[in-house]
Amino acid sequence: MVNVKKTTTHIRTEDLNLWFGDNHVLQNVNIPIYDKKITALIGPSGCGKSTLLRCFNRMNDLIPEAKIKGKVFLNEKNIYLPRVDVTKVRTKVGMVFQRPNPFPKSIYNNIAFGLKIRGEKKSYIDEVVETSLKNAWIWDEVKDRMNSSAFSLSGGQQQRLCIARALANNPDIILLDEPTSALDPQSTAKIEELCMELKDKVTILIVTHNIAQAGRISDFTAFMYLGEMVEFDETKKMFTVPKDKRTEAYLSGVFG
Amino acid sequence: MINKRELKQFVGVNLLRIFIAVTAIFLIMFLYVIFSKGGKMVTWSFLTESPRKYMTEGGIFPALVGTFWLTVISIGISLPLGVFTAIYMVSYGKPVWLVRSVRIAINTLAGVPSIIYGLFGLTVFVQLMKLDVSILSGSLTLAILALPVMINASEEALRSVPKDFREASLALGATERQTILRVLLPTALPNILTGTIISIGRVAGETAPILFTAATFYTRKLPTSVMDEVMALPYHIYALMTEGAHAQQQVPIAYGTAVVLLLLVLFVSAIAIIIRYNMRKKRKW
Repeated sequence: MVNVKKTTTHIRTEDLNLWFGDNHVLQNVNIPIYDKKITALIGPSGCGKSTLLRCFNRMNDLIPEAKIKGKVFLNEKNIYLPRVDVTKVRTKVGMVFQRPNPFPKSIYNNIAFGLKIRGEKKSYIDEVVETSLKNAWIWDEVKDRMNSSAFSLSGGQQQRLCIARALANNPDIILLDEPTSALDPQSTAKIEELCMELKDKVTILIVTHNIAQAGRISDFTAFMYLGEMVEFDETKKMFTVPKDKRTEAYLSGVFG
Repeated sequence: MINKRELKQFVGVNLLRIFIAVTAIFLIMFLYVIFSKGGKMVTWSFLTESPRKYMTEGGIFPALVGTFWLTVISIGISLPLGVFTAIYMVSYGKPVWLVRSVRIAINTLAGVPSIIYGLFGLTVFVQLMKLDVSILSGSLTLAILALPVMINASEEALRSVPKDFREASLALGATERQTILRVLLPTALPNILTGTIISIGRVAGETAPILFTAATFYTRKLPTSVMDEVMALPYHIYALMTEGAHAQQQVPIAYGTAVVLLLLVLFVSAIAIIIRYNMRKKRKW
């Protein structure tokens, strides 16, 4: 599809198919996610982009009627092989959800959660909590109230807290599922900037409804339509000369 | 000039006022009757002394102790049992037939009259398991009585935990077990406590289940183990009102006991409500 010589793929799928019951939601999806880049998944509602995202950390396992066929390679290892430890996959592949979903715990304990369940030492946890919060640009806002409830923060702050929480696991990849759709424009701008800063450290895959957002922050864009991967390309190329008619129609706002 | 809509509104609101007034009157009358008849009986010595002279004098200390142990032990049994059952039903829910039959059993149990629990306890705990008439038999019987409320409240509490929390936890690489212990349970705890409060009130006040399984009419000696039979507040009231030959002296003691039982239940509920309030204040979502 695309010829990118200098980067390697971090995740790639091979003929990935997914059904919810009889509903064929993902159809032969092949997509590469490049290392230390931002890839945006766009497409109209119900096209399967969030479902695809959730294949990468096996969150679809939670849905009993989901059936998956095909392969998803994380660092060239298929994560759908029977003996794969799902919890390890999910530590390597972090996720941030559409609605900020901090735990009903203190700010500190939200970030420390992933480390505590793995039994890390207190001194190490303290250190990671601080760097994660710094990396998610929220340290200055919360450093004096680490023991207050995470719910005392604003929506935008909560979302950055969730990003920090995901970063604390030291993941290779972060999946963002429409992370700004519940936020105001200012918080959105901040998260977009943050993403661009973070891509030096982690690979980012973002699902977005907002075409402009994909254009602003992503290096690559994948356009999905009715469960199919219609087009995958460098964002610059796709946004100037889309190859597929459907991509062109979507980008120009004919449907959405 | 009053139009039709305003008139309807006026009638409607005042109808509701009448209903709430009737409810309030019953509640106030209830408290008034019990307290006016028994209030002056409740003194320090009433609470700390044993009954004397065929229960015509003295206090209710043994019954207080008995009710305390019956309540604590039965809650101690039914709380973990109820919570773990609810966790299984909410988090695993398989096989479906098992969960469904458990649910049918719970709802049937919830509707069974309490005297039947008493007969069940007599047959199974007292006779079959040879636990005799004892605190243990009575507590087990009361625990079964409290179980439906406990399971339903816990299940409700666990289900009301937003799905987001579970997803967030699993997405961070937590196992199902860690998610239940560290996210689901702490979040559901205040509401589980509500179920416990209701159960405590129910268990402390039940007479019929302990009639054949734990309660004794009269003993001066305090229980030394869970295998002893005990006096209990609700049964003490029943005994004072139905047995003995000195109705004149016994009836005021019965009302005094009723006041103590009432205050005890209110006291326990108040503690639980305060704990729950503080927990809820800390956790908001």
